[in-house]
Amino acid sequence: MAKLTINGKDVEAAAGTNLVEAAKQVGVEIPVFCYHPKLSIAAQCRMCLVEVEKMPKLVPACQTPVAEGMVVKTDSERVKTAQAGVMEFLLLNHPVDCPICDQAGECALQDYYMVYDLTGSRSTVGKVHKPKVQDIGGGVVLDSERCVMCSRCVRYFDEITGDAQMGFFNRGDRVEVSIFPDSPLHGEYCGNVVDLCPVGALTWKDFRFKCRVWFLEKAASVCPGCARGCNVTVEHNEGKVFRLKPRDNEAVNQCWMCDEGRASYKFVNEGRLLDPVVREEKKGVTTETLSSQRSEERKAYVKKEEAKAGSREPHTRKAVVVTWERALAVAAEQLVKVVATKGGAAIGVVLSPQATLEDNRAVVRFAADHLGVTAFYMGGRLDGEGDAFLRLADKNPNRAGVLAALEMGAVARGLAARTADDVVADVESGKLSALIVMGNNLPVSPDARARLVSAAARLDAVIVMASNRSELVDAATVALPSATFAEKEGTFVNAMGMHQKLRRGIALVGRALPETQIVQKLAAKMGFDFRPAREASAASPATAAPGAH
Amino acid sequence: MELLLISTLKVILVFAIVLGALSPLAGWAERRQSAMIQDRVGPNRASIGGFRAWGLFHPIADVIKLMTKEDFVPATRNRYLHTAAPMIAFWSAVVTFAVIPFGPWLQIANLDIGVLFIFGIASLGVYGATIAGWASNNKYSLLGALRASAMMLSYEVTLGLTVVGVLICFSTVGAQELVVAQAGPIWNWGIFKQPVAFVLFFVAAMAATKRAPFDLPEGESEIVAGYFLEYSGMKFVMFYMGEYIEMFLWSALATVLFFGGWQIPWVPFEGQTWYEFAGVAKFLAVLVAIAFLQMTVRWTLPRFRYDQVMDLGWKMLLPASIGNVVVTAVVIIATPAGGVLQRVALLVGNAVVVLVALAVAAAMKGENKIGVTTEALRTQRSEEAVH
Amino acid sequence: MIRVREKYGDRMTALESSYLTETLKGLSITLRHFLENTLTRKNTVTLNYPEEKKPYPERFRGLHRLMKRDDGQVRCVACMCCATVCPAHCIKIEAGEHDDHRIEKFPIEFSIDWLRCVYCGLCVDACPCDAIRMDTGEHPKPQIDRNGFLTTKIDLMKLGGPSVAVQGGVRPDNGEG
Ligand code: SF4
Ligand code: SF4
Ligand code: SF4
Ligand code: SF4
Ligand code: FES
Repeated sequence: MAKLTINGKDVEAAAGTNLVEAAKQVGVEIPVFCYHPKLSIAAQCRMCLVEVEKMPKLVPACQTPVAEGMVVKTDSERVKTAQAGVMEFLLLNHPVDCPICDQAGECALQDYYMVYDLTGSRSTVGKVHKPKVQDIGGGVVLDSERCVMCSRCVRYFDEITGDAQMGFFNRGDRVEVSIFPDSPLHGEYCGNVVDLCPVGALTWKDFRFKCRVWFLEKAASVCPGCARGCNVTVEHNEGKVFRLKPRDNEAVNQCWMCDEGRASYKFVNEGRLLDPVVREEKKGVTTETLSSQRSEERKAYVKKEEAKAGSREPHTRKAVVVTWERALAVAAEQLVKVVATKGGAAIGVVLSPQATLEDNRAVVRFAADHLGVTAFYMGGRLDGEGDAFLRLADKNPNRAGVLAALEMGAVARGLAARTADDVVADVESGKLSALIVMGNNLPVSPDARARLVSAAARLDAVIVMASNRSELVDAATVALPSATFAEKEGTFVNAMGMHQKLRRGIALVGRALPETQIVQKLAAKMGFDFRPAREASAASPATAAPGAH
Repeated sequence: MELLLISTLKVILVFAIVLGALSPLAGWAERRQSAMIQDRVGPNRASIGGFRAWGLFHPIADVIKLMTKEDFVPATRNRYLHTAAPMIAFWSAVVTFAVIPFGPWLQIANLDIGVLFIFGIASLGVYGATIAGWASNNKYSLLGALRASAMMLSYEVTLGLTVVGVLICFSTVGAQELVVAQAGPIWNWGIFKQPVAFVLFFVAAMAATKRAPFDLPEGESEIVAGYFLEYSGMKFVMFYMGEYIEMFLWSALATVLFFGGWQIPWVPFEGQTWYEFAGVAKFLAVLVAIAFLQMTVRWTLPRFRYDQVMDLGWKMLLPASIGNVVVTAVVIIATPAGGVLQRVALLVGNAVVVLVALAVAAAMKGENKIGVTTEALRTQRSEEAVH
Repeated sequence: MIRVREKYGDRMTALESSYLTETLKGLSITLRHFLENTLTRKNTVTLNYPEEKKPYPERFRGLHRLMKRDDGQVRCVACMCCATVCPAHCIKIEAGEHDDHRIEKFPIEFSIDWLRCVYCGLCVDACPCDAIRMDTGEHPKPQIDRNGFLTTKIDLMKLGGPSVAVQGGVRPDNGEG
């Protein structure tokens, strides 16, 4: 431990801590471009120069470790002059095209200019121009003119992913950061350089020009992409999610996330199931329905209906958008019928590791306690690729959560979750005559899925709580729109068993509701006194670190 | 048979003049005139084929609009009276024109009681307003109706008394006889015998038409539109037209009483055909001039307060008109008829009436209508204000 | 509490309170106006609107227009500064990637709801590119339908013209992209 003063404030910091971090402890900001806590120290931007007593020259704070009795000043005239000087150099050839720059609003150059510079350019010669709008692969767009040569991106690929993909080329004022010839960015973690870049030199293609960052509202959440459960902020505006950004959590993802995760918000905006839909058995062409129609119309109508009936064997179900009231009433009626005639054992419940712990728990309790269901299955998404850094093969953020929910509600009764393939088998074997499905799809092969969909037509009830449209939703007797991770509060339990909280981002899309509420309403419709428990998840400590990156 | 034909012709002619020409034009003239007085342009948009004719087509447009307009009635009205009221108002105004001698020949009915007939019928007009106000079942309307009847009561008396002076001078009540009596030089006109009576008559007549500055029954800034608040479409037009017609009626009566009717000064009527036309023209010219004066007054004076109207009617006009009758009667009896002496004496008598009236007004100065001095009233008010 | 002061109650003379002379005075004024305005229109302040127009002051904030580049393209670079500053939230911009990399960003759609706009001019002040101006000197025309006020990029550009200001965001083509 070393004791020192920074701007007259006493600081005690562990040996080896640099001055930037030490100053942070007492709320003193030292501006930095090249320094990043997760990267090696380059000390090449000189923005962090500070004055240390008994040292003849200003020293870069990022590179200077604390020492006993150090007296540091970050606000002296000398320091200010140095900071303004660095800014002036950085801006000498900077294009200042903030109006078209995606970084504007969260740009270190902009922010520091307002604090440490705020003067006009004294240069009388033209600016050096460099290539702009270069698609360097990996979903990243490079604008060499805006680069401040901090080398964060270069060091990231050198040190974090370990496959040096970027470097500096040329010298003097023509120096340019770029990729190596004919080697566009590759790998699964390119997006992180965009976050690292303190300016708008690297921008994220997927987000480019979609929304100004100052319009974005942020909600602390957890990435739904895989079982790692990287901490993210959901950045959204006017009911639309625009991007996910990593949030610092040393225990999970430090400050990184993968590119796949960055894209995992898209289903929130697209292809949503907006309204409750009920599919009713086609009544067939009867004289009653036709009596009001004129004869030639009647003929055409009969012809059309016959043709339709011929093409859809054996059942024709007509999808009707209905109110929640009606949808729940139909679902309740179908379930009651099944329970009354065949018992709860004839109902299969597919849980979703894409949904929260609370949602799964509510469904398990409802099904086990009130319907007498014994068959629970694991839904979710099929496994994918994993790697040694962050990505896991399990592409569901909450498998552990589903198991935890089962443990509380069903395992005690000797029930266990079986796989989705078992659903198909059980439906086909006729063991199940009704299904309650959470999630848009089942993690089964396309072939098995097709079999399930055609078999589902024979079931008495297929009640699907889904956020997006899918074949399964189309095959449901009652499809109930559910909320995505971005629209609700809850908990994901990741592969390491950490319970991580989601905060609500956008408002509910369409007429979607969280599954917990759906189940609650359904239970009320069926006349059960059902309250989804609000037990605290005591199993493992909540580890979502506060504060966004 | 022939009489019937001629009478019908006369009726058509008179009504063509009054309803077809004077009233619609009055609307246009009034809007145009007020625009001129207020440094505006006035209506000039209605056009037929791009021809605007200084807004002369506006009355036509107005009529079309008003006739096609929805007749919107309050649900709580008295159905029959609500419908009857505008008819009464309109009818009483129109019928009186039956005895107005527009020319030596152009008079629908030469009643012996001509002037009295006018007064009798015209005073029925207030029933229109009163019934309208009551039948509308609206508080503003009712207030308007009450004001209308109060004002009518106050001013009808003065109106009648001012005319008495003129009638004494000419010793007749027949409208045509009055005109004939004013033949000869211009000083035979009533106005030169009864100038004070003319002023009093003019003021009281304006009050009788309920036009500004005596438009208390309407008082749009206080009681919205008063008694015809709940009227629209053609029923509203009846009130509106009735008002204009009444204005012309009193102008016509003033012409008969004070401006020699159709008589052209110094030129005696001996049955010449051209005279008949010229006489009508002269009559209409004077009528329009007086109407114009009424309209100008409307755009000059703000509305009187209710107590001011009552003060003016009962404390100024009524005593003055009574004085005028007395003085006139005395002069007529005391001086030889038709002489210069009589004329001079009448004017002197008029002057005396004016002076006395002013003296009385001065004596009553500082007293308000309930006889309390303003000083006492002010003390009382400030005491109230403190509480 | 209302205090009543009778201002003129005591001061009227008998002649005045007879209204006679005062009425005559008033009449002379109205008649003078009547005659003046009948003979000449020089005192008349009313304008016959569509035919006669009072020129708006030079700095009148009228309908917006989107300025053009020399080649007729829109100057706006979809920076959203105007949409951000707009207190009425009546500017909607959809930004897109321009084919020409020297321009980079441009508004695919740019609409202003002239019905919601409060004509404050803040958008003009905010624009870094002199791309939006309110110097048309025109006010919005009446519409039957509120959608009629929703003005698209094309219509806003029809009102626009070239700007003399140096265009930001265009730079020499040095063969990139
Ligand atoms: S990098 Fe920053 S300063 Fe440079 S153009 Fe972008 S927002 Fe502006
Ligand atoms: S591109 Fe960005 S991160 Fe890389 S050196 Fe330039 S400014 Fe730094
Ligand atoms: S003038 Fe004001 S209200 Fe209208 S668009 Fe511009 S900023 Fe918005
Ligand atoms: S401020 Fe100017 S350049 Fe930016 S979006 Fe608005 S009009 Fe376009
Ligand atoms: S942050 Fe220290 S030199 Fe760049």
